[in-house]
Amino acid sequence: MISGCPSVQSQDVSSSPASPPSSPVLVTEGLARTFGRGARAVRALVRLDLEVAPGGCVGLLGLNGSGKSTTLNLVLGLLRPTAGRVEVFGGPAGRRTARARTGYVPEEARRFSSLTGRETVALFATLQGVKPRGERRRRVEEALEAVGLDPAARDRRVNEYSRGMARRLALAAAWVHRPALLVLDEPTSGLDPLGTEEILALLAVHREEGGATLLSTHDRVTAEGACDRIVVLERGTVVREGRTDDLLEGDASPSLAGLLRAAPDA
Amino acid sequence: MRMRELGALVGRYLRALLRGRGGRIALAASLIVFLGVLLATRGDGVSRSTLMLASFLVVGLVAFATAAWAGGLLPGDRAEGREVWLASLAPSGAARRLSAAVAGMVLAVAVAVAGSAVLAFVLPVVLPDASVRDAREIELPGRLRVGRGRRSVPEATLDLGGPVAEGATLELVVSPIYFGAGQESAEDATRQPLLLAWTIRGAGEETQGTAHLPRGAPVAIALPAGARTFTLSSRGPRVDVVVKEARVLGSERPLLLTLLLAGLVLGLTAATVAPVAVAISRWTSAPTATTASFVIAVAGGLRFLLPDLAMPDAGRLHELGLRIVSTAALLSPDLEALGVLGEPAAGRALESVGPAAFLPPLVYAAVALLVVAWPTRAEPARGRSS
Repeated sequence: MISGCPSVQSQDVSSSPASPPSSPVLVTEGLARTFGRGARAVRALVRLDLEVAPGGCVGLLGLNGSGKSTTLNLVLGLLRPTAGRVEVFGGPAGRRTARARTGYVPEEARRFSSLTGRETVALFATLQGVKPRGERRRRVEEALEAVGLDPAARDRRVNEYSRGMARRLALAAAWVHRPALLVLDEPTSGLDPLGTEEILALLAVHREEGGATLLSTHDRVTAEGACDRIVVLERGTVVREGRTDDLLEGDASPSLAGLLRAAPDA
Repeated sequence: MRMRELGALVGRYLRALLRGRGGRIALAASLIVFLGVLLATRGDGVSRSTLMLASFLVVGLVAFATAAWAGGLLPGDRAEGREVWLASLAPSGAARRLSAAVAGMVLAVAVAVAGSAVLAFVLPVVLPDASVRDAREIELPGRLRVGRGRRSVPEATLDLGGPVAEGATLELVVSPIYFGAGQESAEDATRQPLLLAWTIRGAGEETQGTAHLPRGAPVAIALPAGARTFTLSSRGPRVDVVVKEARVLGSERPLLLTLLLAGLVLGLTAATVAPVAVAISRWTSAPTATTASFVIAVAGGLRFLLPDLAMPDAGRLHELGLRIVSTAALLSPDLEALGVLGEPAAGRALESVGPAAFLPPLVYAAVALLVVAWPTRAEPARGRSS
């Protein structure tokens, strides 16, 4: 678990963060994305201005179809913006250098069903440039420990994993190379309260080490627990921005109000 | 592109191919087919050549199918959502696609070599004469026609290339040419047994003898130790003999070595199908890519049949079918290198295979790999298929 996690030596990793502390890790300006053309065009993201500094965390909160995942895909360089710009580590999103310093947890627990849990995390470590082999092995164990994956399950094929175990594994894979930016799509979805707590503790360690985080969630508790700033999206538009307490004040659409006032998971 | 990343991705795809349910089913199916071939061809009437070629056919089909199977890797990632996750990592889309192709190639070679190694242990059990011998080709002076015809020489002497060792055999591939007779007498002549007279010199006293030529098969004549030349003439009244090939078969060689080399040739040729399958899978589903690439490979094997399939005025459907097969054959790899499989089937050892044999399939694979690596103008990091 986190308490047992050894200190991080990111300078040993070829893809370790190297940005000056003052420069933001992620900047978006007027970021917009429309799918389709003409009458069938869907504006998934209308305009988003965002800045995430090293050690900072921004949570994207919103209902389904609000533009959260589109934002994450734009930040990762998996989609091109229709308008505006997105800069990661001082350059356009999607460059190899940016990808090597980013850790991503997709919304669904994608499984490499032919691999074991340990092999999955080792694969990600190799692909993200963790070397040499001894260091890679150490990082893999640390990451698996940090997300609280049962040691007995680590050498089992991941197609035997429960949804919660797969989420933990995905986070371990995203964090194994100590990314300077973590991009998380619903990181605590499918986790029990204890699992959520462990993931939030890992994110706290990540921030303490100067890592930036951008996460999207339906869950106000996750956003509140992990982030210092929350952006509320509705139909691709930013409707609120600030600290969670501030967001509870003022008018909101009935569905959004329900989301903002949602009680913590029991 | 970094080799370490490529290696890690290849390892991952190899595990996917080996650990998937499909891999186990394919292995079981190929074992059943192989046993079926052994049982069906068992018995006195079956020649070594038939059994060995049938076994190579099974191993080859499995190797080609394995290579074609690589076409399912990228669509599998797409369908199960891993594509986007992998696209967020450092390696490029080209690296991911190439690694799928390389995994298919590696596995195809491994399957062919392993299958051939199994053959080396199984064949001697079911076939007592499943051995191979050292073979030395004898250079022939152009078209060598021996007999009494106008364009023939009465006798021809072959230089055996120095004194031969004990137990050596001369193998001749000959064909008859009938001449100087009307239709009826020609028919009579073809019913006569073909007789070849020979004289062997160089091993002390001259040795003479005659041999009946089996139709459609090489004739083997035992050579005394120290023999240096072989003189032959045709005994038929109106038949000449054309000597097409001649070789001295020497001592016995390890069957395993020859079959491993044959397996390597088979595997490398089959491996060329993997990049084609991956290239097709950039724009199609897994079943389409796998089936299409396998059909292309089979069309390559059947290319020599195309002229026979052409039938004038056979109807539109036939013409359409022929056009499809012709197009597939155009796209198919050059399978001529597989001709060397006939050597062990004929009892001859393979010592080495020249690089020229691999050149056409290697060029083919290189072009296919280029298509695999070619970037698309789609989304930046993700690419259309990666």
